[in-house]
Amino acid sequence: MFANRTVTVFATATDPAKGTLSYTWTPCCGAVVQPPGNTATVTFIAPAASSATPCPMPLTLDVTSQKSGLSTSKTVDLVVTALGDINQDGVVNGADLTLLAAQFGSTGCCSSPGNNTCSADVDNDCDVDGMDQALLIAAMNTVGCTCSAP
Amino acid sequence: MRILTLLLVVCLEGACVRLGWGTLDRGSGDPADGPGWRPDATSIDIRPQSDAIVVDGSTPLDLAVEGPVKDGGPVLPPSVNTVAVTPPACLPTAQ
Repeated sequence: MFANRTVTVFATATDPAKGTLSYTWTPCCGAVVQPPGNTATVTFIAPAASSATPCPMPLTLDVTSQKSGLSTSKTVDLVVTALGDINQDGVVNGADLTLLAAQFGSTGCCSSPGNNTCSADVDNDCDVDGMDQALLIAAMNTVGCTCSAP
Repeated sequence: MRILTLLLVVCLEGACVRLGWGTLDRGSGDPADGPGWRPDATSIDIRPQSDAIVVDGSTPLDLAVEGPVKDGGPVLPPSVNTVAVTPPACLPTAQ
């Protein structure tokens, strides 16, 4: 996932006491989840990578049973790459610009909500155009996490 | 009247009670002194014949349970089954 993009997180949990569960999400680095209440699904803006943010970024979920009062904590690691780091090698550079050029003019990149098939669609508007190119150039030399496809 | 000196041992359900040496007599003729067992010793020795553990209700049973107990049984904490992230999170690689 790219920095400054909306991330949606959904959890499923079960309570042996058969009570109502409350969910408390704690993302890394000052990100704020929406909605702020105790819900199983939240969204937040992936924070930009910097020297102050760890890589990967932890996202902690605490699930508490309203009936038994017991809780369980689970942490998932989110790897956030810099916006424009198309090949996700940890830095925005000429290699990413080359990849963008190869996809330039692509449209209909979003086959479904949250599923963008164009890696060079930097602004996530379902096409690869001059706006994406401008954003990439503006982000040149920005560093972030490196990652491989899941 | 003294009629016998003997060692009286009574066994019941695996435990024996040795009443000890004494005398079984008919009494002295005094109504207050009827026939019966006249022990020579006052000690009573109870010897169980096995190592069986006896739970008499006053011995607390130490049963280990985790977490609070409600409705007669231990309650387990909730479990998180899945956490799905959209867009899919990529895997960290060596920097």
